[in-house]
Formats: sequence, structure tokens, C-alpha cells
Amino acid sequence: MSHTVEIPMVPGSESPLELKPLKAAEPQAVYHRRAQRLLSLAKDSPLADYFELCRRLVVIQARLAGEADFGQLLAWGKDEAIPLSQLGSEAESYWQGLLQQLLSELLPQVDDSIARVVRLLMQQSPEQLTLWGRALRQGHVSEVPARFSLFIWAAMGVYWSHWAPMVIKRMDQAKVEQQSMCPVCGCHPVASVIVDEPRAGLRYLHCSLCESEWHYIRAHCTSCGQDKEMTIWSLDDAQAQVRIESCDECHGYTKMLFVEKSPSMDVAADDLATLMLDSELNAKGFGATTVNPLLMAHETAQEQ
Amino acid sequence: MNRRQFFKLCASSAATSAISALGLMSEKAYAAVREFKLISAKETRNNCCYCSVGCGLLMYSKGSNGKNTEQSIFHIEGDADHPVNRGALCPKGAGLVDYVNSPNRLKYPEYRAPGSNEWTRISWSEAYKRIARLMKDDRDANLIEKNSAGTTVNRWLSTGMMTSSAMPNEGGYITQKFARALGLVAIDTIARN
Repeated sequence: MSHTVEIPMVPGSESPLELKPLKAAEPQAVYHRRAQRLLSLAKDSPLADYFELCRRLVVIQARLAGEADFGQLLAWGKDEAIPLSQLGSEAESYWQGLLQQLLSELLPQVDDSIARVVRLLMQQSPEQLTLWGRALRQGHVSEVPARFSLFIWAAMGVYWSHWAPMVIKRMDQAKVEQQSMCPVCGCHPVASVIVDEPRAGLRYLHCSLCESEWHYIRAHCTSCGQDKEMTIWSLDDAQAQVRIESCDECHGYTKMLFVEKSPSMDVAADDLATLMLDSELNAKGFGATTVNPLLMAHETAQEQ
Repeated sequence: MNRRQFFKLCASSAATSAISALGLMSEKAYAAVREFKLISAKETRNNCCYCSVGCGLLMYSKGSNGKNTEQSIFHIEGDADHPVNRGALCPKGAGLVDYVNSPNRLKYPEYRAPGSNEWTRISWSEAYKRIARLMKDDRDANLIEKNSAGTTVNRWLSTGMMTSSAMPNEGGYITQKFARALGLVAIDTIARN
């Protein structure tokens, strides 16, 4: 028999099927899985060299996520809708510290041409890095030299993904709404993942920066929100594990990864491995509305 | 903060990405590693109509909205977002796609004469006339106008009515009005079959 103090005052607990608006990531586990996935996908990829570079980068991210010094989180918006969107100069210097560690660890692992890029990035002033970091986080990818954006984003990702789980614990999940940008840090999703928990078939959007996942209703456009004309695209099999959901209204699209069918998939790696599906959709006039941390492709000119 | 709500990547996104900036772009990046067929399907949310629970569904159909293409549903699954069924379906619901595409689906009125095993197709107006005639005859013969105490009751007990289970409030109201006005007592929905 249990002691009376062990019996909860409110009987019963919420259903395990209850929808969770936000899912916190375990950054180290995410990076480990991503590195493994990159390794296995590289074998059949025409971009094998790039996959290998990404894998080395992600392995360093995993190590930093476990060992780095993240200081304290001072200026986060406790009561704001997107608590990790504006963190002040403290955060800028922490992620830039992570960037230096990441680059110096990567330097001996890359060939000469990439080593030159790495050295050049290490020499940039903190003011310049702050500007670039901010531009990337606001979705102005084209304002940052494409050869740097991969590394800058990787360092910021380690920093933001470290704090996101702690912040999610303190957020009022009841206030989280259906939204196309991350409710934690305000960045774009990488892709949709179709999960099997808390219930099979739910769609979550996976954040490109802080690796958190937030619920987004199926069969609605993840960019403009309409639900009248949605089309699913896939190669060969209508039930394929990677599909694209496009919107006839805004002509945007989001990739869907059916992780419930293939649990080893990783959003960033598998998005990168299915660029062919993207090119098919691009040819039909659709554009991705997502950011892949391992791709950092440019956005189109600002629409009014 | 000025974030891009309407954000879209350039076509041929890889060409503007870190891959090409770092000199690791391959001409084969987009080349097909094998023959493939691009499949598209329209994605629609709806409700199961086969009982009053009203489970949420996601339906996938082939064929665009073009004039000459007929849309056909090829896959139906439970809607995980739906608060009632949370993605699950009963055996009847799980077999919906076969109901929809069944070759035995009733598409027009048919008549089987007593003692015959042959169904013959009849027109809608014939069907309505026949139903009305038989209902009228049965009601005229069996309507109970007054009970033993002499109170007017207008009960029609020899006929019952099976109605839809997935009706909105208004549909339910009109069904009740129609059936009760005739004096019908036995009314049920197909939720129970």
C-alpha cells in the first residue's frame, strides 16, 4: 500500500494521447542522430563530400552541446510570445564563443579551400558576426555570405537549442497557437515531421534554430494557413516516407517526413538528401517556405 | 522584429546555398539516380458519415480539378488532429475507401418484386411515386387516431423510419418534423448498424 502522501490530490492524470503543443529537444541526441543519418545517406548521395563536411560539423555540435559553457540566460522574454527571440548582447558573445570553438575544431578536418573560408570567418569582428547572426535569424539569408552562413547557423543552433528546453518548461503551453514560425525562438521550420507520439499521424514543425517542435494541424498550409487546396507530392509511392505538401494559394511548400514510418530519419539530413523532390516542385513554380540549417539557401526578394 | 512571414526560397535553392558557396556542388545533385514517377494527390479533411460519432478523416484523391479528369479517392486515414477520434478509426471507418470505390455501390433506385430475385432499375420519379403510394396505403389502413380513452393520438405504428446519423442540428429537426407529422413513432439512425 502506498503512503497517503504519495497519493496525488487530483485523481488521474491527463491522457497520454493529449496533444502537446510544444516538444522540447535533447540537443545532444538530435545532433548524434543527425550525424549518423548523414553518414548513412552520404553513401548514395551525389553530394557525398558535402554530407561528410556536415557530418563533421554536426559531430562537433554534439560535443559542444554536451560540454560547452553556456553561462546564464539573462535577458529572455519570460512573458513574451516568443521568449528566445531577443536575447541581448550577452547571448551574442556566447554563440560567437561557440563559433570560435566550432571552427577551430573543424579547421584540421577540412581541405585547404574550406580551411581558408574557416580562417576568414574566425577573423571577423564580433560586430560583423552579430549583424550576420541577426540577419540569418530574421530570415534574411541572402544578406550573409553563403560560404559563412552554414557555420554561423551551426554555432547559433548549439546556443539556442541549449536554452530552448529550459524555456519550454516555463512556458504556458495553453497559450501556444498554431503558427508558422517557432513559438520559442521565432525562426523558420526545417520541415514537417509526422510523429507517432503523443498520437500517430500528428504533424509537428521542426525548428531550424532551436530544434524544438511545435504542433501544426495537418492539411493546412504551414506558411499562409489556408486549407482549401493542398496537394501532396511524392516519388513513385503515394505513401512514401518523404512527401511535399504544397499550397495552391501561396505557391509555397513544406516537406513532410513520416518519421513514424522511418524513425531513423532526421529533418535536416533527409531534407538535404531529397533535393530532387524540391527541384521537381520548383519546376512547377512552387517554392520552399522552410530553412534547412545544412543548406542555408537564399530566399526570394521580399514580397510586399 | 522584422521577420519574414511570407518567406520563400529561390528556385534551385541548392545553387544559392552553402553547398555551392563552399565549392562542393555536384552537377549530379539533381540528376535522377533512378527512374521515378512524380505523384500528386489532393489532400482533404472530412468527417466519416457512417455513424453519429463523426470521426475526422484525411482523404487523398487523384486527379486535378481539370475538366476532363475525374477525381478518385485512393486513401483515407483517421485525422490525428480531430478531437473525437484522435486519428483512430473503427473497422467500418478503416474500410471507408472500399465503400467509396465499391462496384456494388447503389447509384440509382432499383426494384425487386416480391418472390423475385431480380433487381430492375427504375427512375427516381417511379421510385418516389411507389414509396408515396405504399406509405399512404399503409398509413390509411393502420393509423390509430384515438386511444381507448378517446384522446387523439394519430399513431402510425406499422411503419418505421431509418435516418442519417451524421446530420447537423437543422437536419435532425427537419427529419423529426417530417416523421412526427406523419405519426411515425419508430425512428432510428444508422448509428446502430
